[in-house]
Amino acid sequence: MTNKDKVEGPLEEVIKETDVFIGVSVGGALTKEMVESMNDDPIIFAMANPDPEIMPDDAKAAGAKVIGTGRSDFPNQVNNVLAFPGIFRGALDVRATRINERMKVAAAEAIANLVGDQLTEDYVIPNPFDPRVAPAVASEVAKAAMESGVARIQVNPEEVKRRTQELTTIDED
Amino acid sequence: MTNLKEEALHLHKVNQGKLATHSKIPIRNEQDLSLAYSPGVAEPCKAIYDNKDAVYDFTMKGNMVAVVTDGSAVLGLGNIGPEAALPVMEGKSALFKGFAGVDSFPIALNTNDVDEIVNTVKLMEPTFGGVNLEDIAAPNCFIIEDRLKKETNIPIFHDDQHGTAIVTVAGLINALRLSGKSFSDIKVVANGAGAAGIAIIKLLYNFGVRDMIMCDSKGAIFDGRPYGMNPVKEEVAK
Repeated sequence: MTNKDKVEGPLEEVIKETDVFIGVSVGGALTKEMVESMNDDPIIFAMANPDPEIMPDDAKAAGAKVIGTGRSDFPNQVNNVLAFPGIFRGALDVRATRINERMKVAAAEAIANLVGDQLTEDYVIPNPFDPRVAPAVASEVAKAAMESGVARIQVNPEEVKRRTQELTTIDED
Repeated sequence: MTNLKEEALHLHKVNQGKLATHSKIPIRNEQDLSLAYSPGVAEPCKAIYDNKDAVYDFTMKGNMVAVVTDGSAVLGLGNIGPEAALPVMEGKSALFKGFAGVDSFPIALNTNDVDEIVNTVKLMEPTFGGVNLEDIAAPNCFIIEDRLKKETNIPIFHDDQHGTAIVTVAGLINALRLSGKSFSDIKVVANGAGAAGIAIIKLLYNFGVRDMIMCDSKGAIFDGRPYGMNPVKEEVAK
């Protein structure tokens, strides 16, 4: 699945000429020099909490095109709450026997698509309190469950969306 | 920050936690009792006995998720044990309800043993429509999730792996749109081979990414690396 050339070495070596850095490690693990050694317009997701692998300002200064973190005080917050409520809502509504890869892919696409034509470097992920998210994820996950044969019952995805809209109690920002 | 800490402690203390159960059917009198409990309750019991799938129609199961932890990898706090993990699990349940109307119940288990956790969750399957595994340390979390997926017939989802992976990939879909690159062309380096890192690699693979290197604290992980490996690292290095 990874590293078919069996490359050895520390992060600062293997990060050279890559396009995307995904950090789920420890604060400060990524330096500006490492970002500068990546290909043009590198994309950085630095999700160590509470201190990201690199601070967004440093990543930008080193040439990052997009930087996301786990924190609410910076743009592009990677927050699980965008996924799990809608995923289980959709899975439960079709009485799914499992949550499979198709359903996870559908959830990721549903979240991404909500950004739409408002897409900018500082807005690649919807806000955690965007009330459209759980309904959209639920309906797409329900649809993917039915299409991939893990749904015990068939439902109308639009109905799943409408019902989730009614169930959510979060306030619009 | 001090304010937030004090306010959080106060909020949990005055409410004695965050969750309570709520009966959808009010119990006010003899009539209510005879419908919600004996003798009326025997009717849905018989219907489910005749057709087990009817449990989804006549009980809470179809909207009820178990939020299961062993307290071994809680937030950034580490292995703080099941009791100390309970506030997080209650919080998770509050979010399930608030964001999508999903009912759930926190279950903090007094064991880190894979077989015991798997067996316990399996035995609870009749009650729940799904299981959210939470804050269970790698590599046990992978084994527990894999076994439960094979050995139960309800959705099993380890949120620390897949929740993070799904949202990260959502962000990456849009970031790639901005940079004009595609999943099949990009080179990705992932740092951190815990629950989330492994799940992100697997999801990226499903999106067509083929050029990936995963690093842990000892550097790039490669097939046959003689140090710091575990079965899941071996799997992603294949």
